[in-house]
Amino acid sequence: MQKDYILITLADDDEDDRLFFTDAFDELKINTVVNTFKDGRELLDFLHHPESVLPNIIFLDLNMPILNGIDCLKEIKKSDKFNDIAIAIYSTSSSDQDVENTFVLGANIYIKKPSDFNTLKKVLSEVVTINWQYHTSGLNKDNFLLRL
Amino acid sequence: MRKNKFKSSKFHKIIFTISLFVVLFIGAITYKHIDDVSTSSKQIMHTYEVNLELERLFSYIKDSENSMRGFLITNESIYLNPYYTANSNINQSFSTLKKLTSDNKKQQKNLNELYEIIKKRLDYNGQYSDPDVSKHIEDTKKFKKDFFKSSKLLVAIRNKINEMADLESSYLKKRNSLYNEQISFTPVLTLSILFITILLIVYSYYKTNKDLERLKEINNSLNKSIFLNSQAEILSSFGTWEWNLITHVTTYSDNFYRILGYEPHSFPSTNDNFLTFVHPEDKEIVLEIMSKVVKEENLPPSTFRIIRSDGEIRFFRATGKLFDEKLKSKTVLGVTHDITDEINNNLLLKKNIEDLKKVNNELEIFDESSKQAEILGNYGSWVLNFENNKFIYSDNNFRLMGYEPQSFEPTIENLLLHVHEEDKEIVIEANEAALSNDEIPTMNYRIIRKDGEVRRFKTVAKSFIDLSGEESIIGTTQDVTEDYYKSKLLKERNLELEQNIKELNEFNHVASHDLQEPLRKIQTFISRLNDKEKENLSDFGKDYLSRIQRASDRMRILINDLLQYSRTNRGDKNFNNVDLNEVLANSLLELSQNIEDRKANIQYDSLQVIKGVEFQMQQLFTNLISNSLKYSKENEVPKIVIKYKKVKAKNEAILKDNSNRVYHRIRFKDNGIGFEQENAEKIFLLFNRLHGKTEYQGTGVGLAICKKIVENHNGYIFASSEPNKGSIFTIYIPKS
Repeated sequence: MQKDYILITLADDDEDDRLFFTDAFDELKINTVVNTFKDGRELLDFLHHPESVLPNIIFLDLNMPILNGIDCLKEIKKSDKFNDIAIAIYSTSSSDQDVENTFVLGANIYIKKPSDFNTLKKVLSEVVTINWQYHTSGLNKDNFLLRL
Repeated sequence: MRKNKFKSSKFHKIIFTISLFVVLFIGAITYKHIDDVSTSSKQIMHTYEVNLELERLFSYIKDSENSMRGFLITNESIYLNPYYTANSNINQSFSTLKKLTSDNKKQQKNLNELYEIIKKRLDYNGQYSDPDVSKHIEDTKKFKKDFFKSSKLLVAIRNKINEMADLESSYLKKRNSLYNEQISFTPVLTLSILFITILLIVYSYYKTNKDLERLKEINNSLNKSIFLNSQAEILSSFGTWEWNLITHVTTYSDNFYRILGYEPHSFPSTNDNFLTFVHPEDKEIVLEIMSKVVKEENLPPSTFRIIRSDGEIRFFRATGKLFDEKLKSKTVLGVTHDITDEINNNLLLKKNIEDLKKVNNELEIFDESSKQAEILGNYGSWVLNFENNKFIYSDNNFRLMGYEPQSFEPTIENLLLHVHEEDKEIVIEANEAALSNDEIPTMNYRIIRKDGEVRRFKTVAKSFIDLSGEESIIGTTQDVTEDYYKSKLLKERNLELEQNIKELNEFNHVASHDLQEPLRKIQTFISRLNDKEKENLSDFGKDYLSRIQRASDRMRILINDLLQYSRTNRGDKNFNNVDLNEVLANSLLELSQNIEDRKANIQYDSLQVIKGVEFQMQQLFTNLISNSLKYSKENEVPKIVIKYKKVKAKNEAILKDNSNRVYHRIRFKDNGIGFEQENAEKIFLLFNRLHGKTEYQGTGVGLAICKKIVENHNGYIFASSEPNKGSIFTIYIPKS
């Protein structure tokens, strides 16, 4: 079935951030469906559910209760089923250690949560419109962290 | 030298005289023998003559008889003539015989008897010699009687002559044997004497040869001693001289000239000439010596100076002795010694002794001060002599153990009595190590003092070989009880501090990290408000909103800086090669917007590759350049000059390091607003700001980070400035 929208999922324990995230997509003129989850466990449960439609892009916060972003990422990367899903790390931190870790674990892009709503919109629109095939093939440590 | 060397000539004379006598004796003996032999031969000849004459006489008698008989028979007077001739011959022969036997009385007597007989016979014949008488033959009776008688007489004559001849024969026999005796004895004697003479001559020749050899030897040793003497003169720089007081002739040895600085015999050796060399101030002394030596037999040694040919002043010591009879002339023999070196050596020795005294004195002072130092520094020293295994303790070493100085014998056993039970092993092992020539470890052990107090001691020792080559161990023992507890406390504190810092860093990181989240949300909400609700706000509301926004912005900067600071705090020590040229280029790229905005002029040298942490160096350069841009003058184009130089620590006064350590020196010079020099250290402190928040944006973290980074690299950072004149930031990073 040819989808005419982009399915996006976010796992973030922070309610405000989930709000900014959905608001931003609401304001963006891109045809997207956004699902949000409160932690990694919820996200994985959804992904593993047989009736779930797999998202195109998963946004993963790192600092989450129950199952944090890193462990969640590891889980997702374990299954071939999720190979086609692009994974964007979406975190307040941009510490070298976090960036390095997630890169090594196979995330596709790293986004530092901006402190300005307009910037957020810009970043999300950028990520959603990325040609993932092209991006992944030339992925390296330098372009992994999204800079605007 | 042997005294009997002239004895040989006396011996020679004796040998020679004896030889002469022997030769003379041989001559005399030979002469006598020859004489004896000739006498013997004469006597033999005489005997033969006598015998011959006797024969002749008898033959004459027979002739006369025959003639008589012829006459008588023939009665012819012709026979008378031979008769007479025979008679005269008899007489002649007789007288000859008489002469021949004149020395022999026995033969004389015989001859006389013979004469009587012959006369009687001739008388008988005479009676018939007359031619007339011949006729008387007819008287036969008488004739017959006479003839008979005459015949008888003839027999008597023959007997007599035979008797005489026999006698002469016996003489001959006797003489012959004597002669033979003499003849045989003579060559034996002559030969034996000759033989003795030859022996004597050979012996004396041998003796002479031996004497000659000895003479040669003596001559050699004499030559040798002359050579040695001249060498001795040269070696010990002295000269000898001879001054004949009668002839006034003075002679110098070769070296006497040399010590005056001349070639031997290069000027006439006279006293006047010598005086020209004498130092003017010492002429009196020398003249006095000369006048004294003439009178006195012995001259005490006297010292004076001379000026040598090369102008050098030398010290001479001269001594002489007058020899009156021994040399058969009044002569002074003297020795002159160049004692300059000796005097100099004495001076040197004197100085050395003085130096030694001085050093000794200093040593005493040092000893005293080290005793004081021992008391002040709570330490004692000791020496363990390897030879006798004995210790020597300094006074304070006893005091450390709670004893009066030298109040017990310092032995390992006595020491162990005071060592804490648990630490005895340490001391025993160290002592064994010392005795087996191993390295002596530093010992930390407890001592129970005389008063029962437990003290902590530390001992270091080292083997030591003194000037005489004797090996010993010198050690220092210190009472480190206070230090021990202090350092123990310090260690605990350090540990606490490390823990604190760790916690602080964690706190810092977590806090700034966790603080970011609500702040980011606040800011996002502000941006939402600004976008969506700004129009609905009153002017007050708008103003408040913008103030909230500024405050939150500032908080963001603060948090970011803090994060950065805590990150540099982690002390990443993974040093790699960092090309500062690249670092600078990156920094300029990072700040390009800012630089462009300010139209800043940035000049820089070619930099070097250093060992460091790349991202920290990046941070350092960015911070410093952005600092200069930030504090630039509003109405002036910012100018930043970056200079590089490789320097030595000792040439950089500010480092207060006199070593040859090499540093990379990088200078950032700007023309900004600068600051008071008194604040030069303050600006590197965390959150320290010299300007109001509104004037210049800044958190007071940037330079603190710079300092942190430089210190992480074991380097130094200094700032020098003057308000309105610009600042210079100088970084020193050690080379490797």
